[in-house]
Order: sequence, then structure tokens, then C-alpha cells
Amino acid sequence: MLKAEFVEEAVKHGGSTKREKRIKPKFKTGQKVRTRNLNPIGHTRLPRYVRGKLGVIHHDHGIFVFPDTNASGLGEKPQHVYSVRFEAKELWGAPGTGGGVIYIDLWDDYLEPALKRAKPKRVRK
Amino acid sequence: MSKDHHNAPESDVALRVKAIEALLTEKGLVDPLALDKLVDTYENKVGPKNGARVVARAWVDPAYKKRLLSNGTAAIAELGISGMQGEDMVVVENTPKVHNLIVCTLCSCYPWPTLGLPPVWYKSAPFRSRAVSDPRSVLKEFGLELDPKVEIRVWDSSAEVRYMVLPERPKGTENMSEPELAGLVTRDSMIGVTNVTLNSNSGSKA
Amino acid sequence: MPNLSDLVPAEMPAIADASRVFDAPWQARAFAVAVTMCQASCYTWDEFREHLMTEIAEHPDDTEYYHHWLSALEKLLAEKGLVAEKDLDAKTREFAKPK
Repeated sequence: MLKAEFVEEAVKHGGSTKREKRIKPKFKTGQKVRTRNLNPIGHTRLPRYVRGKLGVIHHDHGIFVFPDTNASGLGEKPQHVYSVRFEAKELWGAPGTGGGVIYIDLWDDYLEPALKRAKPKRVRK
Repeated sequence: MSKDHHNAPESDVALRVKAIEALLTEKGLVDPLALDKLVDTYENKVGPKNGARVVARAWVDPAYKKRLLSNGTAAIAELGISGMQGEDMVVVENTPKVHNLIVCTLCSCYPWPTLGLPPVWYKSAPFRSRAVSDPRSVLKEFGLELDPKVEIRVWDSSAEVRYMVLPERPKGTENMSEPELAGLVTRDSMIGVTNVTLNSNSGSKA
Repeated sequence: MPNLSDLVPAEMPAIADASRVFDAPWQARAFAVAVTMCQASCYTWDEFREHLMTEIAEHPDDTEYYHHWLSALEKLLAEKGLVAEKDLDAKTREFAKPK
């Protein structure tokens, strides 16, 4: 039980889920990535509007507990969380609102490397 | 399944909360005085005035601003501001070319130590969906029309990092003191739905 | 791919709202219980947040945010075996009785 005299300290201290661990990030800043098309059940931090979308790693925030496993008692599974940049056109399929860019914070497990698109073969008539 | 509150009269809901508190108190799991203290903290002590101090400091001290943009949590803590829902802070800077907007599309995540608790509109479904799909129209509703060439960056607080906008310092404030500058900085400018102007007033809220 | 027109369209609630933090005392109490129980390690904030996001997603027509908050809290407390729903129902009825 949190007693009244400890409220101030609890509020000021908070509770970060950041972890100091030596875990290699799977992705680098500037790398193109695609978000996995995951079922929402059990993967609550991957917003619906960004499933299966192409983005670019903007920044690595460091290592954090993974809530998808942690909140269901399957362990902390700490991993890198990245700020990933998406163009409005990629998310909404429209030209967007002119200069709109969306940055979403995503765990390593939500991402995979974007496959290079194969160059179309030239067909000789 | 738990009772469905969504169509219940307010008085029923209030009784339900009273009942939860009573049961948890009986079991020794909550201390009603601690609840009182926590409510007082977020109603009167923690609020946008904290964030306004951070902004004003960044405006007058370029070295502080640099630290703020590279490690938000540490720089904010230099001013004695820290805690729950602000353990991992990133501050994003507005410039003539870039305007930032913060949202949490999944629920209502918000940097409590610097801004207090979020306003009703921030938690609303229309804001949460339109901030990412049509930010320009959202800003327009708040009275902010940006040049089409300005890039709008929307930050969805989907993980543990909490964001705060460092708004641009308005012209005509060259001779103002740091506290006077802080007095201009509004909560809405630190979310990114408005800019700071000479006429803006942070209000009397803590 | 979602259409812009499929999204919740419209008006945001009073954007020029007062700077009041809670609209009613019950909201303040619900907020405080959720936070202090987390501070007392009865559950993690992640667990609370997961329930909150689910309530929000499953009840898009309820614009009262703290209804979602309260439902999330009740479900989490029941899940953790801390407050059984039938006990909560009984206590609520008790408080509802005119004195």
C-alpha cells in the first residue's frame, strides 16, 4: 500500500521500463523497415493504422521492457524501441496534408527489414 | 464481465468508484489519505507551468537548449522536474520549417511532470485519429494555419517515450525576463496545437 | 487501407476548455486509485494501459474517457483477484441505499 507520506516521492520518481542491457539493435538509423502485419490481440502497441507499412528508422530510443510479453506474464523480453518515420502518403494512400510526416515509437519485434523491390525485367518484343 | 458503465447515470458511476475505494481500503491496499494527496498533486502542483519553465530556460540559454534536445529527461530534471509518465522524455523543436504535434492514438499518454494531466480534447477519439491523418485541419481548428511549405511532424506516443514540443520564441520578447517568458508559454503550444504569441497567457494553473 | 472518411470524423470536444483537471470527484478518485495501486506494485502500468487501450477500442461511442478508465481498473482488479465483481456490486448497492 502506498502511504500518504510517500506519494510525493513516488510521483517524482516514477518507474521507467528502460533497461541497461547489452542487446544489439536489429536496425540502424536511416534503415528502411516494414511494420509487421500483426493481429491486434496481444500486440497492443502497434497502432492499427501502421500495419504492414514502409518507414525509415529515425532514432533508437534504447532498450525497454516489451509489454506484449511482460503484461501477460511471459517475461520482460527487453528490446530496442525506435522512432520510425512514415510519410502520410504511405499511411493514408492519399497525397496527405502536404508535408505531413508521422513518427511512431515501435519495438524491435514489430519491424522487419524492408525488402528491396526487384527491378522490373525489360521485355523485348 | 464487469458492469458496463458506458450508459450508466453519473451517480451510479460515482457510487461504483466509492465502492472500489472502500473495498480496497478495507483490505489495506489503499490509503485514502494517499489518494487525497495524489489528487491534490495533479490538481494543484503538477501542471504546464513546469513545462513553461523548461521552454523559457531553453529560449534564454542556448547550451541548455542543446542539452534539452539531446537528452530531454536529464535536462528537464535539472529544473527539478521529473517523475511518473516523464521517465523517458524527448523534446522536439519547432522551427520556421518544422512544426511538431504530439498525440497518443492508443489511449492518452502525455508527459505528466511537464504538462500535468491531459485536456479532454487530447483524449478524444477525433483528436487521436485526426492528429495523424489530417494534422493540418486539427491545427486550423485551434486557429493555427501554417504555410504549406512547413513540414508537420506528428509524434505518436505509442511506447514509453513521452514527448513535449519546444515552441518557437515569439518576436518582440527580446527584453523579457525568464519568468516573463515562461508566463507566455501555454500548455497547447507544448502539445503543438498552437504557437506561443506575445498575447498568449499561460494562465493561473499550476 | 483506411479511408480518411471512414475515420471518426468530427468535432473535438470543447477545445477552449477550462484548465480544470477532473470534471467530477469520482474521476479524481478513479485516477488516484489506479495510480496508487500501481505504485504499490499490485500491477504494472503496462497492465493497466493494456486494459485501458482495450476499453477505448471496444467502446468507440463512449466519449467519457473516465468510463474507459474505470472499466479498465475494475477488470484489472478482478483479474488480479483484488476486487471481485460480485463484492463490488454488493458494495455499490449498499452505498446506493438511502440513509
